Formats: sequence, C-alpha cells, structure tokens
Amino acid sequence: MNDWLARLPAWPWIDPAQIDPRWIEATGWFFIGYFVLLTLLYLVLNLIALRLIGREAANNEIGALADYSAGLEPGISILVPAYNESTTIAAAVRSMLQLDYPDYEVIVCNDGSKDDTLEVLKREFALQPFPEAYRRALPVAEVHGLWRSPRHPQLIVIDKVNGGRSDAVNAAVNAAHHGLVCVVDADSVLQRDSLKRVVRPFMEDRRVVASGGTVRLSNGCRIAQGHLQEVAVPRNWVARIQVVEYLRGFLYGRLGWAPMNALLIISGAFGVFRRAALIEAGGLSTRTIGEDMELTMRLHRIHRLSGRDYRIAFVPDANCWTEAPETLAVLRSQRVRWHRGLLECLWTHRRLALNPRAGAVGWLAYPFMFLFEAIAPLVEALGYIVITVLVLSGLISWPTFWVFLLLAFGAGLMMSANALLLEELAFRTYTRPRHLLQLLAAIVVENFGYRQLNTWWRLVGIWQWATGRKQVWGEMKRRGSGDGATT
Amino acid sequence: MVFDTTFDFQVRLALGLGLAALVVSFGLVLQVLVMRMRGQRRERERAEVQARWRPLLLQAALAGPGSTNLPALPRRELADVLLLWIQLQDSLRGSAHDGLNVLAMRLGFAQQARRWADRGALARRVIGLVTLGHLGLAEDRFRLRQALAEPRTLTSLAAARALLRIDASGAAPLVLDQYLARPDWPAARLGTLLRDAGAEAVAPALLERLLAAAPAEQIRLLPLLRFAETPRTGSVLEQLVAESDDPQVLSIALRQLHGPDARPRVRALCTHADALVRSAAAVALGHIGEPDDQQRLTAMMSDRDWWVRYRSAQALLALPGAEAAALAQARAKLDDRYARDMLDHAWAERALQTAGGGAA
Repeated sequence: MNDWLARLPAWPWIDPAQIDPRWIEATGWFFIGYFVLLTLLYLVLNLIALRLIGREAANNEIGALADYSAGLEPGISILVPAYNESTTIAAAVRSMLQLDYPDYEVIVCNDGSKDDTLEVLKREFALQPFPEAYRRALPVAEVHGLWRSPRHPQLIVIDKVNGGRSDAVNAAVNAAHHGLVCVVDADSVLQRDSLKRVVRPFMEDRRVVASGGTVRLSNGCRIAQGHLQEVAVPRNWVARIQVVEYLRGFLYGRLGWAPMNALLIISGAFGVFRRAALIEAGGLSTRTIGEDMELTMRLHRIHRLSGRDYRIAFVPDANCWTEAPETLAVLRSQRVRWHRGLLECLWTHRRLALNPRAGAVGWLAYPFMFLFEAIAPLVEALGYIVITVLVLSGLISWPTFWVFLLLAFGAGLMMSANALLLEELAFRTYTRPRHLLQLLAAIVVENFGYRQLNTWWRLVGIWQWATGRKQVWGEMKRRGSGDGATT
Repeated sequence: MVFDTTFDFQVRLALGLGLAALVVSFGLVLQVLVMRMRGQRRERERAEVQARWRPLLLQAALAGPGSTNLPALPRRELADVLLLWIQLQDSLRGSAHDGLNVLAMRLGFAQQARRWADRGALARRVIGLVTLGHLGLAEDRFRLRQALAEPRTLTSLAAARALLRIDASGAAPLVLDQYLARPDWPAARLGTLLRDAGAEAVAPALLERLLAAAPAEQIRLLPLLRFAETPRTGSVLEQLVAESDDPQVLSIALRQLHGPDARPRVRALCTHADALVRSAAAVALGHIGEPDDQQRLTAMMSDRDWWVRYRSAQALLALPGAEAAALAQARAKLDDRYARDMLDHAWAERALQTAGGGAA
C-alpha cells in the first residue's frame, strides 16, 4: 500500500462503529450478484452468437455454394433522411446508386436543411421538379415538392419543412414504391452487397417484418466517391474504442437476441422494414429520440400482444459503415441522447415488461435491457461511490478496493475480448495484424477513463429523461468522404 | 479496517471472479491471435493449392486428363481442390465436364465425396453432395434422394442441386414436392437451381403442381414460374386466374399474365373487392389490354386506393394507341383531381424512364 494512501484521513462524518456490518455485507453481495448475473447473461448471449457465427463461418468455407441469386430479390426503397448534409450527401447518394441489387430506388428526404443540401443534390444529379401524386399514408410536415433525375430514374428527392429525422423518414416512406424500405443515414456507406444480404431474411421467411445489418465505423477507413476502399482501425483513440463497442453491441448484443425473436433494436443507420408493417405501426415516432429502438419495440408490441406470428431478424454480415464522433464533446452528446432514448422506449413500452403475451421480449429482453442497460450506470456509479466512501472512511481496506476494481476491469475486458473473437471467427474485417493489435490495445484502454466517462454521460441521460428535456436532431461535424480518406 | 473479516469471503470471491475474468480474457485474446495466424497460414496454403491445381484441372477440362502424372493430393488439400473443381464445373460448358470427371475418378473424388456426403461438418457435406451431382453416377441417386430430406437447409438444397444436375426432368417432381413440404427452402434459392436446370425440364412438374396445389402452395410456386417459361405456361396462368378466388394468388398470377385470352376475366377483376387484386388487374391490362380498356382504366384512376390509381395510370399509358394527344384530351376530361394528379405522375415517370433508359 502506498504511504500517501495510508495517511489519508478517515471521513469525519462517518463513524465506523455506528455502521451495521450487515449493511456493508449486503452491499457487497448486491454488487457481486449484479456482476455475476450480468456476466452470465452476456455469456449466454455470447454462446448463442457463437453458434450462429459458426454457421456463418461454415458458409464462408463453401463460398459460392451457399450463395443464391435468381433475380427474385424483392424491390427495396432506400430512404435517406438528410439534414445539413451538404458535405457528404452527393458521395453518399452516388454510392447508393451503384449498389449491387436488381431492383431498388433511393429516396432522399431533405428535412428543411439550413445549408445547401438540396442545391448540392440538384446540381450533382441534375434534378428536375416532379409532379408526384404524393400519398400521405403517414402524417408528415408540409412537403414543398419532389425532384427526380433523368440521369438516375431511381433517385427521388423530397424537399420538406423541418420536422426531425423521424418525420423525414416517414415522408420518404410515403413516397416509396417498393414493398420493403431500407432506412440508411446520409453519412453512412453501404457495402455494395449489403442490400442483398440484409434482405435475405425476407426471402427466407414470409413472417419477417424487419431486418437489421451490422453498423461498423468508417473512421480511419479509406473511402472514395462514397465507396469503402480499405478497412482500417482509426488512429483517434475515441473512435478506436468505439470500434470495439460497436463490435460488442452488434456481434453478440444483437446476434444473441435475434434467434429468440427478441431483438429490441434495429439500428436507424441500417435497417429494412416491410413497408406495410411500418405504415400499420404508424411509422417512426416523432416524439422520441430513440426512434429506431422505439419502432422495433412497437413492432414487437403490436405483433406480440395481438398474437400475430412475425420475425425481426439480424444479419451480421450485411455491413453499413458510418462515421463515429472523434471528440469527447460530440460523443458525450450522442451517448446522453442514446441513453435518454433507451429510457423513453422502455417507459413507452412498459406494457411489454413481464406481459404474459410478450414472450421472450417481455420476459427476457425487456428486463435485461432495463436491469443491465438502463439502470446500469446508476449501479456502476453507486458502486464507485460506495466503495470510495467505504475505503476513505476506513470501513474497508485499500486492497479490497482494488479487488472490486479488478472485478469490474476483468468483466469489461472479457466481454470485449469475446466480441473480438466472434469478429475474428466469422468476418476478419480488420485484415492487417497491426489492426488486430490496435483493437486489442483498445479493449484494455477503454477500461481506464472511457468507461467511467460513459457511465457519467449515461447518468446525465437518465437525469435529462427524468426532467423531460426537449429533443433535437443530433449534429456532428463531418469530415466528408467525397474524395479520399475520412480521417 | 473494521469490516475486513466480515468481508473476507466476499473479497476472496470477488478476487477469484476478477482473476478468472482476466484469465479468460487473456485466453480469448490468445485464441484470437492464434486464429489470426492459423487463418493467414490457411490462406497461403489455399493459394498454393489453387496455383498448383488450377492449370491441371483446366488442362483436364479443355484437353482431357491424358496420361499426365498427377501430383499427390494430401487429405488436407482435398477440400480446396474439390471446391476449385466444382467452380470449374459450374463455369465451363459441354465436353469440359467429361474431362473434369475423368480426372475426378482418377483422383478418387467419388469415394471421398460419398464419405463427406454421408456425415461430417456442414461444409464438407455440401461439397460432397455437389461433387456427386457433377459426377452424375447412377449409384449415387439413392444417397442423394435420402439427403434431399435432410433437416438442414443447405445440405438438402445441395442434394436438390445434385439431383437436378444428374437428371433435371426426373428430379424436378421430387424437388418441387420437397420444396412444398419445406418452408425453410427459399424460393430464390430453389429458383437458382431451377434456372440452371432449364425451363423445358422444370415446366411440366411445376405447372402440374401449380394447378393442383392449395392457395398457400400456389403462392409459393408462382414466383418460380419465370424459370418455367414454355408455350404451356401462359395457358396455365390463364386457367389459374380464371379459377382461383384467392386474392394473393390472383394478384401474383395477374402480374405475370401476358396472354390475350384472359382479357374478359381480367376486366371482371378490375372491380374486385380487394385492392391488391384491382391493382394487379390494372397491371395485367397494361400488358394485354386493348384501346377499349382506356375508359375502364380511366375510371380506375379514381379508385380509393393509391396503388390502384397508380397502376391504372401506368397501364393506361402502356395501352396500344396511347398517344400523347389522345391522353392529353382524356386528361382534360378528368373531373377527379386525384386521377389527374396520378396521370401526370405516371406520365412524368414514363418520360424519366425513357430519358434514363431504365425503369424506376
């Protein structure tokens, strides 16, 4: 033990003799129990994911023999909500117009951008006003007009009054001509074969109403003309740690829940929905921040509580690349928003919790999400506070303090290492040995400061949700990916 | 430290769990590194095997295997060579198959493929079954028929592929019956096999089942019809449209209809209660309609359903004799604003498609 630690004074307002040892003991059991349960549940999810990934690896082994393409792929409308995206929109649309898919259209919805997003689109794609008989299957803010391009007949641009991301997506749903709609963020890059992959659950099972792909981070990757040229790990540590976070979130956070038909979120950055199901559900909610999760939970609620057979699928090898925040300030705002969104969704759909008709969603996924995601920052912060107070007041020893920190560190490390294993087993996206070592370093580094910051931001999210702060479109400074690297 | 003794067990437990998590993490990291090294070595080996065997297989395909001394084929290289052999079988045509098959017999592929087809990992079984299909030996048909009923989707489809490869006409009924019994067989996956088998071989079995099937089965069979385009296909579709009263069957069948004999029935379906059927009837009229149908389609442009209005407008523009002047005149007579808007929409869309040379 360091001398300076030993010399620290005990907290004067806590008298160790007055505290019942049973409270301390109970507190210890609570944290250990929470940790063990969390780790066990994650391990179960991980085992499920491992099984599915093993199947994926077998498919990779036989390559084209597992492949099929008979031209029976259903038509898809790609919906791109855009708000102040003038630096990235042209490259993004250009890459979407070159996807490897037989029958699709791209619908960009300019949601009252304050910059020249619409002008860029008009100029780059030679857009002309189009007399669309616009249908209002979903209520949306006023639509100024629709634009189409003689050079790209499959491109439709909607210009409307600002109403938020969800409103923009709903406006695009109204203009969609195909039975499936794919929501993609304007700053995202789809891999050329991503649509073919993400649509497979719809082709294999008529009950599927939604399907999500994996979102990966484009920071550090080389992107030219909206196409991913080379995968790399970002040099920026904030982005690098997020690469590991995304792997964790998608490879077993989602893959683990999908076979139970209990996936609670289809990412807003890349998700496909049956248009009819989306319209029946009322479209994306304009009243919540976590609209992608809210829609997924609403689809579960509508189908589960009315006893209808349905599936919400996840396709791990359908990739969409998106830019992650590289500064702590932007990351903070994103994480606060995400956590508020999570709480809003859980609160809105609280009827699903332990509902006899809600199956795995109500009895497993919802409680898991509540206990180990929504209130996890509270438990984690409480853990840090309690143990610090106890050690400073001399109620427990410093070695005990370090033991509990070791426990938290070990658990975090294990989860991240698991995600890397799944990635390596099935996809090996990061091909260079240097990339692998960089990711391995990130899974260690994230435990020192980054995780604690995240906990703090999520606490802020809880506070903002509880106090009901108003939502706005999230803005992030883009580096642009028109011609060259994104970093 | 007041409570250290009370805490002892908990601290020991936490220490144990923490250390265990660290050890597991270290093991996982090690595994990732080992997998990476193994994977890279495997890639190198695969590239070497392909570089060694590709010229030999190509020579066998193009000029026959002759009496060339073949290099030894170690067991660990067999899967790579078989995959390469299958790839060439799929990409070459005509007598090239015979050369590849003679070479395969010399190398003992048949025995190995049978072993793999019967048991083992999924990838091996699929490779084994597809290899047997390419070899086309009569003695393997029973084995392949058994594999057709395998619960695993990929293996059963590999068996279907092999059977169709050996005798497309003979296997088509078996494969289609299996398809109807298997909800896990996607239409697109089977469609790929039927396309390769050829319409002449597939059509008799498919059309027969289509007419005899229940509506739920007809819905699954109809998308496959594009791989069975024969002179009889049109009349079967017309019969289906004439006899079926299932809205989903009607809507899928109507969209594929191209024969003029069905006109009266299609016209009758333009007033069907289900909007799905009405819009499909409009699509069908766009394919087989006559100038006389203009009035009917114009009326349908005032339908309460957006899709019926849209498809009717598109069909109206596709009718024979739908000249710009006549359409402008028809538009001027429209009282319904929705119908007018829809006609403008479809008109502008057609202009775009003509300018862009593609379909939206």
